[in-house]
Amino acid sequence: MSHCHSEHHDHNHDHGDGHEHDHTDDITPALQNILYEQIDFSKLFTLNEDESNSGRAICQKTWAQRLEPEPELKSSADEQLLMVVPFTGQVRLHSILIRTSNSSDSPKTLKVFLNQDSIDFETASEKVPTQTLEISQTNEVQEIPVKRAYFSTTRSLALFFEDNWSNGEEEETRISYLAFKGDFMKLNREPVSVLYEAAANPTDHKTIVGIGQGVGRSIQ
Amino acid sequence: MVLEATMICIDNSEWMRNGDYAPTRFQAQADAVNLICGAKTQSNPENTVGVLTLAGKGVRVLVTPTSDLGKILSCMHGLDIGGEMNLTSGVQVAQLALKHRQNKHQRQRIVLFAGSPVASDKKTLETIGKKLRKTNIALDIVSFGEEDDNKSEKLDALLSAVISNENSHIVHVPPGQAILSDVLISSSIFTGDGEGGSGFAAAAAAGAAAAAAAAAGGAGGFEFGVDPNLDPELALALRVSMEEERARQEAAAKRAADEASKNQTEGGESSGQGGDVAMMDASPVVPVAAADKGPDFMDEESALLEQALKMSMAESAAAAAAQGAGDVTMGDGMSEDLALALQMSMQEAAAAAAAGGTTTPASSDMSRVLGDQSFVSSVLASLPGVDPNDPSVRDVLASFQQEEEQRKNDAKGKDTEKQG
Repeated sequence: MSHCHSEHHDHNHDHGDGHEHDHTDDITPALQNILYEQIDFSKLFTLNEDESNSGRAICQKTWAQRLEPEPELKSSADEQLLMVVPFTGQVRLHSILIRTSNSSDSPKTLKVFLNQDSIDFETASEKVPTQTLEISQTNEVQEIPVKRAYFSTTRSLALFFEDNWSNGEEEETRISYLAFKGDFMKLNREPVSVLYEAAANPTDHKTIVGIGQGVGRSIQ
Repeated sequence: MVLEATMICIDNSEWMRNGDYAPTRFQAQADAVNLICGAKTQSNPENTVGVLTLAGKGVRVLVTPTSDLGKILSCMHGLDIGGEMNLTSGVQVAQLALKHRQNKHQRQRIVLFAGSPVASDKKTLETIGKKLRKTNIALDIVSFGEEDDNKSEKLDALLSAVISNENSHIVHVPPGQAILSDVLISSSIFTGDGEGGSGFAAAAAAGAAAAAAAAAGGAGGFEFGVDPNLDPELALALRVSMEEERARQEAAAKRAADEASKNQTEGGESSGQGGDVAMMDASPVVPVAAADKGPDFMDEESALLEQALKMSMAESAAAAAAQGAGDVTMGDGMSEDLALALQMSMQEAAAAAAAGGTTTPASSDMSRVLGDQSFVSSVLASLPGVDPNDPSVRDVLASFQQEEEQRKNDAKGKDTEKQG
């Protein structure tokens, strides 16, 4: 497993399944990788939502509530939506689960940005997304897989729903359910060990080869 | 105490030269801007405020959002008036300035001063409003100055396009007596600020109300110079202090009456002096009314004042009468000292009654006490060198009786005159 070849921090090794999953779904092993408790809901925000905190509400729906029509995320001023989903640790994202509808107000293009905490619509339109996904126009829950290589160090996701299936006719976009699947690694933000010194004590350190007691000694 | 970054858009167009707001529109606007900056930075120390001008040579950012109040105030100096306001690009530039704020956790707000006529059409304004709503920017509009046909309609349309969860407000300030800053203080732009902002607003409102009361002689539109709807806490505090003062005065008066009956010369050392009334509008009102000698207010807080007035009227009249009577009836053969002492005690009694009396019983107690011959004669007997059986002393005592009658009649006369 190549979890940590590039990280320099302390972490727990979460080897695969069994640790953070919804125990009520033992009958669906496919749901064992669902990321629910790992989403930092308090820092989750949505721009251009009609009802305040409705974006948070649809992510807070559990798997059992996925088919419920309420609450629903509706866009406000136009058909675009921008949602930032921070996680409480580091995630290797596998796929995004979404449920919309089969009408023309379902979103079409989804641009995903990696680790962009403060993004706005202008930046989202201009910047190159980490990946662009196509959402189908259906009533069922879709699981859209992502390129895992790009999303191995996800700490937050920015989801930019750029347009919907109405081709510019419908000013509103509606989403009913949103979830994520992946592996989770708890991030330890504290330093490992710290030693503060006012001045270095040379006897604490290993002598550097080639340098003797004083300056200008002959090199060994 | 919301953490917020605010951009204030100032209108420095030619329309601001007008003097319909004292001293000029531009100066009134500058005062209002200073007020808003102060309130924002006070409500949360991490709040930042920036300023840009809408007119002049073009939209120009004077200071990017900063929490340094001095910088903001100093940039208002030396601003030139001229040109035409460009509302649409001003709001866009404000949006940009907020986008590049240093602390991304701050909420975004634009305060727009619209003094000149609005040239853009309603559709454009609604589009702007939608864009602001999309990027979660709140907008406060201060509409003042020029009142052309559609201006308030357009600005209301802009507000309804921007508003989301009641985060935005509009205030229309018509020209006239009202000072722009004062209207803003009591408006939702300040009360929407939270606890910190409203504390600032309440303090400023108290100051403004005191000034207004002093100026208008306390006869302003509202009971205590503060509208209970706009600042209920302040109005309640004033009402409570009024009640407390009234209760204190009544207790003091009762004490004074007791004390007066005990020792005549010391009289009412009561703390309920007329001048001690702690209400804002009491002191200016009392001398004013005293001059008029017939105030007509029937407000509840003036009932007490009226009573006090009657008292001081009665006392001053009685004192005058007592003086006159005392002078006239001093019999001959009376030792000067005795005469002087009696006169002084009369004066003291009258003065004490006037000062201490919030109730007529005090003075009548005094009169009754002095009229009681046995008591007076016993006092006189204790004085050295006085023989109570001296006919001149008896004469004086008799004249006292007459004085009391006269004084009582005078007082009654004044009372009936007043009530009539």
